[in-house]
Amino acid sequence: MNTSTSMRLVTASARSQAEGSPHVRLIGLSKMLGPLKAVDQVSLDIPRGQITTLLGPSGCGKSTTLRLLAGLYQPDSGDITLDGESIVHLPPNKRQMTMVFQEYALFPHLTVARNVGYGLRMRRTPASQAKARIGEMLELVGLSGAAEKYPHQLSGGQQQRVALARALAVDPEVLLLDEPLSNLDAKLRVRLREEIVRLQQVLGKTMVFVTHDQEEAMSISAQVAVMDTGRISQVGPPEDIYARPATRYIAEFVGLANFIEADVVAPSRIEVAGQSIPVPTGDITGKATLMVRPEAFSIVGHALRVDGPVLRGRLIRRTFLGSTARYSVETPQGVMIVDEDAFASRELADEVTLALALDRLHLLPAA
Amino acid sequence: MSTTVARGSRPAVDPAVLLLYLATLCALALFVIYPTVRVLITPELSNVVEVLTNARTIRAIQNSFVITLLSTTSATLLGFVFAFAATRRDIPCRKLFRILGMLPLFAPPFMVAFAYVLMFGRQGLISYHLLGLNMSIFGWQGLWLAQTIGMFPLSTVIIRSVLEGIHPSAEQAALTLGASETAALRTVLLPLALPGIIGAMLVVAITVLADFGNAIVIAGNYPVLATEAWIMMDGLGDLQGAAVIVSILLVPTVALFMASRALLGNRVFTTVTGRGADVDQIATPAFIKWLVVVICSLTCVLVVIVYVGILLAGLINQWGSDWSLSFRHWFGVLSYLKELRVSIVVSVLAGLVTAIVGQIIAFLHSRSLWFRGALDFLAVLPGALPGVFIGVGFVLAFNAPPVELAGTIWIVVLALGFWHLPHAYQTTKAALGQIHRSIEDSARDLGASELRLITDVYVPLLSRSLVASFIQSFMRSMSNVSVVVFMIAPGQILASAVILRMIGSSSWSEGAALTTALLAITFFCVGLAEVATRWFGAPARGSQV
Repeated sequence: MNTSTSMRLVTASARSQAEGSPHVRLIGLSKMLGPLKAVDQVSLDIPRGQITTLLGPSGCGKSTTLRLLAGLYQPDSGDITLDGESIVHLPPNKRQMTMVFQEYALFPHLTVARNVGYGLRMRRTPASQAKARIGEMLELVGLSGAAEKYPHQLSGGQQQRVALARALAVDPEVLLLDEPLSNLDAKLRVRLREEIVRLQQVLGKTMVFVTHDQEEAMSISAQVAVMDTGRISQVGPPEDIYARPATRYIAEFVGLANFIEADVVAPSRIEVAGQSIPVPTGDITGKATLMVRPEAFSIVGHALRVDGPVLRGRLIRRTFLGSTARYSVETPQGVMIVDEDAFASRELADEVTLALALDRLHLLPAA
Repeated sequence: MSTTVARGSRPAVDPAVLLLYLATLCALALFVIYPTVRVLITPELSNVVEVLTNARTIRAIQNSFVITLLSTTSATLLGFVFAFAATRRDIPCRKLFRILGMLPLFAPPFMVAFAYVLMFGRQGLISYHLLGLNMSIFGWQGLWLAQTIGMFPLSTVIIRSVLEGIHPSAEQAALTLGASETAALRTVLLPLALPGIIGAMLVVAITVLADFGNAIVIAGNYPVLATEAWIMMDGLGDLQGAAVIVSILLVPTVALFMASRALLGNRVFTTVTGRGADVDQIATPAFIKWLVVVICSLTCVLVVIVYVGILLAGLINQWGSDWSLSFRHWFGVLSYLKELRVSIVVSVLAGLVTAIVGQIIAFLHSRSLWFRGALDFLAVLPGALPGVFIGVGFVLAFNAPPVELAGTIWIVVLALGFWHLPHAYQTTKAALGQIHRSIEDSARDLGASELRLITDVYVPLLSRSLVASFIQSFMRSMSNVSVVVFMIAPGQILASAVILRMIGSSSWSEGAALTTALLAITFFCVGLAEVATRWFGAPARGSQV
């Protein structure tokens, strides 16, 4: 990288390259860690200038994938390209991807300024330029006053800001974030994640973010890749993943869901509890499972007439969640979880009718 | 540990604990402070002037300074290499290096020098008989080699625990920020290891200054302070002169000791954050890797030579002239059964003194009693005292009333038992720190008295550190020479002192056979103690000698 471009906040590559082609491509990556197939034939296109999240439970291979990307691990097979050129043979220090670690990984023996300047020092950036860049970065993360402090004098949130500044200081092509927020408390986590989104918008960086927290993934990403046992099980915008999960596993992982047994009776038509419901069926035939998110139900008065499919049941539990209330409704199809505005007051043991929002139903293969 | 802060608010003290506390303070005053003070006040001004104007003493001071500089530097560097090898996943044979690299810690303090005299001396098996070289290892070169090999494991232990505390992600971060692997080691690992390296240097320097065993065997005509004190007393019968010399020796050891306490004292040597997977470690650059392998391999050869040399020498019919194998020296050991028995009795008793007193002090230190700092200081102070200082001190203090112990084995037992206290105390203190306050509170809540707390909570939970303390003190006592040479009384000669006499009179094979026996007995007893703890049902973990 030449140093004059690295002085600019917005990367040249983010602007000049064609928007359409993926910035980074993972092609059939596999990696064994001991006897474990940690990453198994993973292929993924990472779009330029956006946040892509690898989402999955611990041990699903998401962090290993990130380390393969960083060059910290060598894949057993597969390829990684950056702007169409293979970088899989390059060591980490030649890949122009920097990483933010879960445990911050700041250098405890260096001041904040020297931490941020470490990458510049390794690139032999002239001192005056480096100093300006360090100042710029610290200002960006709101830590200008902490330049001469040591990491142990900072709070966890501040440390992670320093780690961000350090990783961004060298103007990397791609910023890799390995569960950067999971060591922080809940409030701080939300604040810092908003900050990461803001940084991304200001700098237009391509970012790859690893997390096990679905809410985090949903709220910051342009693209989410759900991983499970070393494989990518679904890729798409967060809305897609939430509304149209590919499997029951994903449906459960990215939020609460009700599952109802259904039969596909005709293309785009299923039958549930004796009612015929129009739903895109894709290539599913015969037995199937209908996924209904808790907010896709609405509770209507027993006496009201409803056009469209309904379930009938009895309110058996109410949990107050603040802005919403969560109900358990016992129906012949099983206990349904329903979210509703918290201010509607309902008596437990009431007979209720649940109306299904037709445009929010999603059909899955039978479990 | 935050628990010590919380303990500050205890209201009442159990009278039994108070009594125990007073007894402990008295014991420490009698067996730590009193001998120390006796050494310092015994010499008169004329003695001091006489010793300080003596050309040989001046030379000993200079020599001690030079050899400490040399051996400390080389032993620490070597220790660092071994610590590095042990903590890098991609160093070939690292497990072997790890095991062999610890072996010198188990050797009696004179053994390394003894083995090198046998192998590389004028009649040396390797130097003279295999290579035909006409060289002498006696002198500073031999001492330097013996101390380097004998003491590098001390620094390995300290540096290794510091290296293990460095999370691999720090190096990984350096790599992704553009550092090469070599640069990552230089700019991240090395600066982070520096406190450990300096701490190790201080600890090794104290040990080198106080080293009597190697110096007496191999230094030849190269006087150092530790041996000079003994020569002055044993050869010239000049106890005052010996006191002056050990007092001189005390100045640098106490200074180094204070420095090491300041640097390492409150440091937790095991990792706090939990070490990431080994697989996260960055690759070691090839040239560093192979340099480390070469250095470790050569060192391990020198370590193996120590043990094999001693074992072999005991089986040679006549060292230097008749190289045929013979068991006659091994059978000859049988005529020293009495000395071996004295060694075992003394060492078992010293081990018990160390372990029990160490536990008591650590327990008392955890209570909020007066003079807590003083208690802590007295328990670690013996660590700063060279063995020859303890030897001279106990002879001066207990040769005559009010407390006369000379001529009994108790003078040796108490000298060794209290000298070995610091390790036992610190091990137990660390183990105590692991016991969460809530365990103690729940016992108290259920009605346990302070003494019941000791018997029902602490002893079962601390049995591991109790055994570790005992083993450590027992092993060091079995092979000790620096303290016991000052206390030789008729009928109570320890085996280690006999070996020293054999070496002095060039009875190589006899000395080697008796050393082998000493080692065998020591390891047998340690094994026995290990088995015993397993039976106790204490959580079995690697011995922490």
